[in-house]
Order: sequence, then C-alpha cells, then structure tokens
Amino acid sequence: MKRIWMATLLAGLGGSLALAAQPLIVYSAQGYDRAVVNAFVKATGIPAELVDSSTGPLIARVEAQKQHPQWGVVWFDGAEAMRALADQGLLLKHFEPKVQWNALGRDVVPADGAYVPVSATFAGILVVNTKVIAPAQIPTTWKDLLKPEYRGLVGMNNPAISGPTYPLVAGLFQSLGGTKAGKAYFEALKKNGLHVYDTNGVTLRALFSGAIGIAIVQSSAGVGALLKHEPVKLIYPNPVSLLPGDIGIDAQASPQVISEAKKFVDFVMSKAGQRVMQTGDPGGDSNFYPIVQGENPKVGVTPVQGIHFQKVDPLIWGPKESAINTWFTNNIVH
Amino acid sequence: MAEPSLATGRTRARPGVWARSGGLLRIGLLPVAVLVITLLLIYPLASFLALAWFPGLFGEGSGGFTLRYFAAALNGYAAQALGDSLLVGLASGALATALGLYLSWLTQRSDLPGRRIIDAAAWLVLLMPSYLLAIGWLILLQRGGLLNQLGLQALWLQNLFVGPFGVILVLAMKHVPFAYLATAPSWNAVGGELEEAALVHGLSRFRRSVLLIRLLWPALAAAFAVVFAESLGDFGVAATLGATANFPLATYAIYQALYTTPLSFSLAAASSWLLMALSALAVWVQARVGARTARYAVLSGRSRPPRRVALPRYARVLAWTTLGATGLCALAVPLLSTAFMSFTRVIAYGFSLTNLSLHNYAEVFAHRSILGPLGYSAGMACAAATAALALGLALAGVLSRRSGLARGLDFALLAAMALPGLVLAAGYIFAYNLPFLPLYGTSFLLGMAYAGGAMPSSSRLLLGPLSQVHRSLGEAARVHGLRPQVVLGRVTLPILSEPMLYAWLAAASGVMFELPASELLYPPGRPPLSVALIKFVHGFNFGLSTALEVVSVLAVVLVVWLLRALFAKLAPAGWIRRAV
Repeated sequence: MKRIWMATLLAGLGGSLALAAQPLIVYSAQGYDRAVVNAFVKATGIPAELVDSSTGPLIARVEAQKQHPQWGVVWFDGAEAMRALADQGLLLKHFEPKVQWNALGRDVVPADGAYVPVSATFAGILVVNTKVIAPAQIPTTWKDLLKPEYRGLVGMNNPAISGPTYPLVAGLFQSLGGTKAGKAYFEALKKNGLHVYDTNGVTLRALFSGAIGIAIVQSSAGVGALLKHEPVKLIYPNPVSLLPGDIGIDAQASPQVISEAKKFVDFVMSKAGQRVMQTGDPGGDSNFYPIVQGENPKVGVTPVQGIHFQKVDPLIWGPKESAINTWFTNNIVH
Repeated sequence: MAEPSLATGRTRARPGVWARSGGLLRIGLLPVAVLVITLLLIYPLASFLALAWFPGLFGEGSGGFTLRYFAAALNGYAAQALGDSLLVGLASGALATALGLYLSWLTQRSDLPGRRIIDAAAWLVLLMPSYLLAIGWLILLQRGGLLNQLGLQALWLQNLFVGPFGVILVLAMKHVPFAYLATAPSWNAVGGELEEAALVHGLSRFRRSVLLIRLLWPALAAAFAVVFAESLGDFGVAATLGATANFPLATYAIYQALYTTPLSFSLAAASSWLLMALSALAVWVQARVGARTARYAVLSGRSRPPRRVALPRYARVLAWTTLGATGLCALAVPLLSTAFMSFTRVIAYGFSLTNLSLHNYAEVFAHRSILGPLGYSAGMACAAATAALALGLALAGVLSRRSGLARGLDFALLAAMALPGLVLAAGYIFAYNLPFLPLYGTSFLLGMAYAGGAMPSSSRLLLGPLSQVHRSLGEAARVHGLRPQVVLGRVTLPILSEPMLYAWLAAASGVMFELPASELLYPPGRPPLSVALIKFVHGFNFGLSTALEVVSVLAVVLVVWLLRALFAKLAPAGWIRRAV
C-alpha cells in the first residue's frame, strides 16, 4: 500500500513539475553570472534561474544529464571544452548573434556557430609577487622561467582541473612548435621545481602568502590581484593565448527555451549586459576584454595594445585535450 | 569471569529492547526502512556503479560490458591512491579511536576539573568541515605561511606536515569526535557494579582495565569502523592538504575522473568499486564483534550509575597534556590561522598590526546574498537530519540483530560511507533525472541526497548505545504488561535520547557544510551555504571567504549550544544518564 502511495506521490510531483512554467536555466562558472541573470530577468521579463559552479562540476552535470537535459544555456571560459560538448551533439549549432565583432572577437567565433563567444581574457600571464622577487629579477619571457634563480618559485594550475589552463598549455605547445617541444618545456619547468595547484584561486593564495613568487594564471585574476592592492606585477610574455568566455545552448531544449536562450545571449552582448559583466565581479572575471565593437575593457585592465597574443584553434587543440591533460597529470603533476 | 556479560547473569541473550518492542518494527517499519534505504542509497549508487561495467547505460560512452575501466583504475596513479587511502584510513582510525576512548573516559568516568570543555570542543571539531581544518594548517605551515612570517623557520615541521603525516593527523583530529561520541555513552553503560565485582575478586588493575576495554568492544569497533570509513571517504583533506603535498588519495582520484577533462564516469565508478572493497575491512572488524554482540549487552534495569575515578596528580598532568595537544592540533591552530586570515587586509603583507582590519567582516554583513543560502541550508539541514535520524534509528535497530539482511545492510552502509559524497551525488543525477522520474533540480531530491549521505553515520552513532541495551529491560517491561509502543516510548527512547540528540546534531551540522551533493544537485536559483562559500574562494576573496567561514561556524556552534542547553533543561531527569 505504502509503495502505491509513494508511486502516486512521485507521479503527482512529476506531473506538477511538468506543468509549471519553465524558467531559463543558466549553468555558469562566471563570477558575474548572478548579476547578469538578475539584470536579464529585469530587462526582459523572462524568468531565469542560475546554477553557479566551477567549470568541472558544470560539465559533469551537463554530461550526466545527456539523455534528459535540465539546462538552457551553459557559460564558461575555454573553447576546447565547448567543442567537446558540441562534438557530442549537446550544443545547438548555427547560431550567431547579430553583433559587430572587434578584432579579438573575429579570432574566436566558431565557424559552425556551436557556441557564442561573449568575452576574452588571456589564458596565462605571469603574476609576480614583488615581495618575493626583486623588481630587477622579474622574468619577462616563458624561457626565463627555466632559469635557476626561479627554482621552486613558479606555480601554475592543473589543466585537467582548471578550465582556463588547458588553453594556456595548448598555446605554449603551439608557440613552441608542437607537442614534442611543449612537453620538453614543461618537463624542464618541472625540473626547475614547478608547483601545480588546482585552480587560479589556490595558485593565487600560494602566491600572496609567498609560497611561490610567480603564478601563471588567467589575466582577469591577475588584474583582480592588482586591484586588491596585493604587491604584484603583471607580465605578459610573448605570446599569451586568447581565451574566450563562451555560451552554449542546449540542443535538445524546447523551441521556447531555445528562443529564451538566444535572447539571453543577445542581452549579454548588449551594452547593458556588458556593463553588468564589468561590474558584477570587479576582483576577478569582470576584468575581461570585450569582443564587440564600441566596448572597452574596464579601468585597470592592461590595454590590449602592446600585448603579443595568439589564437589557439579549438579544432586543432580540442581533440588533443584528453591526451595532453593525461600526459600532464602523469608527468608534470605527479 | 571471562564472559563479560556474566555480570547480568545471561549468556545467550540477543539484544534487546529494540527487537522486543517489536512486532511493530518487524511488520511495519522494516519494509519501509528497506524501501527508503533502497531509494536513498542503493538505487542511486547502483545506477552510478553499474557504469564501471556498462559505460553506455545512460547514453555515456559506448559499447556493452567491458572491464577496461577497472584496468585503468588499477594503473599506477589510481593504485597508489588506493594504497595511500588504506594507510590513511587505518592510521587515522587507530589514532582517533584511541584518543576518543581516552577523552570519553575522562569526561564520563574521571573527576578531571573542567572536563566539560572536552564535550564542547568535540562538538566544535565535528562542526568544522575537514577542508577548513586542512586549510588552517596550510595557512600556518606552507612556505611563506604564518610561521615564516613570524620569523620562525621550521622546515622539518613543514615537510613533515605537508605530507602523509599531516593528512593522517588532520583526518584523525577531524574524526576524534566520532570516536568520542561512539564510546562516551558506553562508559555509562558498563556500570559501577562490574568494577566493584572485579575489585571484590581481587583482579589486578591491568586485568580490570582489559576487562573494561573488552566490555567496550562494540563501541570501539563502531568507532574504528566509522573513522576508517569516514577517512576513506573524506574529500576536504584529500583536495587541499593531500593535493598540495602531492599525496594522492582515492577520493581525489575519483574527483579527477569526474570533474576533469577527460571526464569519465566509468573510470570514477571503477575507482569507487575499489574504494568500497577497502571498506570491507571495516565491515570485517564490525562483523567479528557484532557476531557476539549479545555478550556486551550490559545496560539492564539493575545497572547503577558508575562512580567517577579520582585522578592522581600525574594522571591529571597527563590528561591536560593530551587535551592541550589535541586541542591545539584539532582546533586552536586551524581556527586561529583561519581567523587571522579573516582579519587580514592584504594577504601578501602578512602578519603585522597595521595589516589587521575588520573590513572583511563588514563585507560579510553587507553581503545580503549570503543570508539566503544560510537560511536555505539551515532548513534543509533540519529536514534532512530528522529524516537521517529516523532512518538511522530504524537501521541501527535492524543492525543490532543478527540476520542476513542486517549483514547486507551493514556492508551497504559502510561502503556508502567510504565513498566520497561526490559519487552518491552523481548517482542521484543518473537515477532521478529520468523522463518518468523527473526529480532532478528539486529541493526534495537534494534533501534526499543529504539524508542518504548522513544516514550511515547516524546509524553508526546509534548502533553502539543500542547494542548495549540488554533484552532483560524489554522483558521486564513485558512482564509488567506494557505494550511494545509503550516500551519504545518509556524505556528505549529515554535511554537513547541523548545519543539521538548527538546524532541529529552531527547530521545537521554536516549538511550545513556539505559540498559535493550541494554542488551537483542544488535546484537552480537556490544555492546552499557551501556553494555560496566556495564562490567567494573562486573569486579570490580569501579574506572574505575566511570571514564567512568563521561567521558560519560561530552561528552553527551557537545553535548547537542552545539546543543542548535546552535538552539539559527540558528532558526528564531519567533521560540523562550521569555518573555520580
């Protein structure tokens, strides 16, 4: 009897859930997402709810729901992970908002419209703790990090865990001339006492506390540290790699949700949306470079002129991500 | 005198009041309990674990039956992680059990002045998330940490701590309260008359101690099993101290398979199977003791409250030294380091008076966004802890009897405890995100996951006290014509009320800071406290996040203290067993 009650209860619950109005579910790892979702609801009247998490748990959620997706849009940094979702057929293709891209934007828009880039940062810059490293000793190139004076003083994130770090590793592989040279570089870094932490946050905490003197982290995090008056200097070695923040739309969503999701992207790309992104997380993700014409980065962000950056092609480096991360985990982390 | 239970004149007894109070349980409660446990634990875990063999089960991966994920889970790194986990579980289990037993003896049976502090401190440690303890130690001991900033160089200490030793120590400290709470009620149960009888028979002090320890076997086994399984399943220390020290633990290997590219649910499932195999060790210990559980049933109607031992001078010095060292490791160091961080304006400037400020606390109270998550988590904690307690009680009742079902449940519970919360949480997505069972994304499902996660420890905490309720109590009640329900309400409940309160509080405070299920299952728009806390860490607001942690811990401590004070005031005198 109890079983029957339980079944009735569950069925009733399921039925009522199906009948209720469906808000747009936003899965996001961005620091400013709460502010953006609130502004979106206010501006459009479309109900939306946020699930904010790190990139790892978000992707795990998305992949575990493969057969019955419960999300509308997913938003995080890094085109390679988006490409992996697209390759599994989870993302809506051929959608591009009607905007004028700037030079940065044109570099990161995917040809098949499987996801939409909405911002850009640099995957790895050098953030130097000037209390640990004297100003005259500050490194300026990637090769400098292999010098004996920086032995045990350099830290970076684990590309398998931190979303923005694989593009950094792939970018270095690319600029050094390929997989072999890239592996040799990281092996040399490891020989010089490289520390590998989980994510930007942990690496920066080690930097601030003086456990390391040089952190290789995402540019927005470095600018945030500067804005928090930590004694750091930002170095942009030649080249740094462009890292887009991307939004993907659930391919299996209902037409209503897809239309709401497109409106969400339009809002994010609008002047109002970009303003909210630049104010929602001033110490971190808000320090991005806009990728549409007419928008400027917020005050304090290093001007993009004078920075030598490169584009990392997700179609080339996306498929190699598993292999390179596995190699990195086995050879550099452990 | 070899048989401890001779003291009550019975040898063949099965315990106890629970089974006797009876018919009600056997007919009504049991199937419901089994059904609920199936829904909360077995079905979601099985959904996930099946992926180790059938990767294509939920549209992930491809192909049918395969063993290659087990091969992958047994490669160098994952195998090393398993070995490390076993070492850590054994060492922290032994350390925490020994320490917990000593501490509970001090509070229950000695006249040590100020012994109530132990109780309060145990609760404080229980409330602290393990990652908080680990991070506190790291703030102090990592290179450039507080110790270095104070001008102290202790490289050997840093190297020692940021490694296996530190992981074992922090996990043992974190789980001492479990051992303490599992053993404390038992000291009251091994009544004074047993010791008097031993004295009358002229047994040596050593023999008396051995006898006493043997009487406490069920509680000790329960304590060890809980600490062992909880240490195996811990993620907070594995992800902080373990990762920093490059000392891989099995939970961390599972986390890497689940949350990192390349993501592989099947690999995580295979690693989970292997981790569960390790927990079989705890099952074995428990089964050995549990098979003879009746011998330890000593709490009968004739039991008298035990007498406190007057500690000689040297014993007091020893007691206070142990207490000081434990308090320092488990609470003082991590809390002070965390608190210090929360008062720091600019982290890199480190320890100086000019760098201290209340700025972070001002921000905490300005951030209204944190109040919603705090309230939501509090509500969920109350609901889930109540459910976990009810289920834990029913389970402990089943487990304290000898049956095939009990043994099966026992294994399932310990195995569930040894798995990181992450695995259960991922299992919930697969199990309950089905077109005909669309519970995913509801608070109800998150509550189920919380209750399911807390239930194994709850039942463990109650099993010890329950095993010691002698069946003669129930028989006496029946002779006096009391109906089973009345026995439950007037005999069993009063005896168990204090452990029940403990178990509820432990479950509720655990839910308040639970991260993995919260992160994977929280309903859109309703972030729980832990998710809100981690958001500040990701935003590099270390000062703010530590301030938030301090405030949250203080709030939980205050509530626990209030509830305990209320219990002491309101509960009938007979519900609280005290030594005289």
